[in-house]
Amino acid sequence: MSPMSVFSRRSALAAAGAVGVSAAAAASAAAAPAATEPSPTKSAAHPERDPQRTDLVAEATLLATYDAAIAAHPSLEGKLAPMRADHAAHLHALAAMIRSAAPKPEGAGHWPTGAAALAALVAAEKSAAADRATACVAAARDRAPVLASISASEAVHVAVLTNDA
Amino acid sequence: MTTTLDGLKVALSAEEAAVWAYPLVGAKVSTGYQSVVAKAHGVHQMRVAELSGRLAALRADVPDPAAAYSLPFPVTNSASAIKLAVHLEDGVSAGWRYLVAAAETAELRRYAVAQLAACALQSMRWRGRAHLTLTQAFPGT
Repeated sequence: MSPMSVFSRRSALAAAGAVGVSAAAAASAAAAPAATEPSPTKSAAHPERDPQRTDLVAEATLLATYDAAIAAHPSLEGKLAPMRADHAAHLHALAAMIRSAAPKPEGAGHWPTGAAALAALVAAEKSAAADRATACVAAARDRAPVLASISASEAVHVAVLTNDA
Repeated sequence: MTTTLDGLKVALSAEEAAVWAYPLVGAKVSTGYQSVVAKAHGVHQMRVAELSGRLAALRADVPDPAAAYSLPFPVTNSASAIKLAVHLEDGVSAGWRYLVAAAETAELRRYAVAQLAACALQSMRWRGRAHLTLTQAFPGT
């Protein structure tokens, strides 16, 4: 028997399993939700009342903050562009999750210096990471991994923005 | 339905693979990173102990780690060793993300979310050393 591959097989298994969990959870939640799980979400019927609506709006606001920071201080674009792209992907995933169009908030924020803009982004990312983690713990099982990954991504952003690499 | 036990076992097997492979990173990585490797190895060993303890507390069998693993690519120098470290941290991230979905209690899910973030942070640091894009939109996928 050949030795077990370091992750190339296992992580694929885990990733496939996570997708399987989502499908299974969605299917069984409709029939008989487990006592320990939150009620299945009725996102298609009422996207405006969906518990992840808050996360969607928060991500849209964060993306707009990045756009405002880059517009005000174009020299930051090289540093910020990859993280802005992450948030665009987060927004897309959350919009798909609750089957709702992403809102388009105005990019607010007027920072006199690039350092001030970065400080604002650090504060926003810290809150976002904590809020997505809280949302993850309360969320339906099929949504939890996406929210967990978004929270982890934002925790990494805090470190990158503060040069804790 | 995937259960807490499944999730704990997937996270454990991912952490065991990292414990097995980090010494190979240490054997090839440049001397400046030795303390980083030692610390990371210790973190993965602590997580193996924690996950084994949680399985034992649930009166579940704690599976033996695999005797050996095959590497995804040859590790011949510092650059490939750093690349392996990125691979390891992304692998454990996938394990913790799996546990996020499988966990049947809020406490365990919260723990898995925190560990996923910690692994993503380590992946980012190795990505920086490998001169790769630092961040990922969805760590663990």
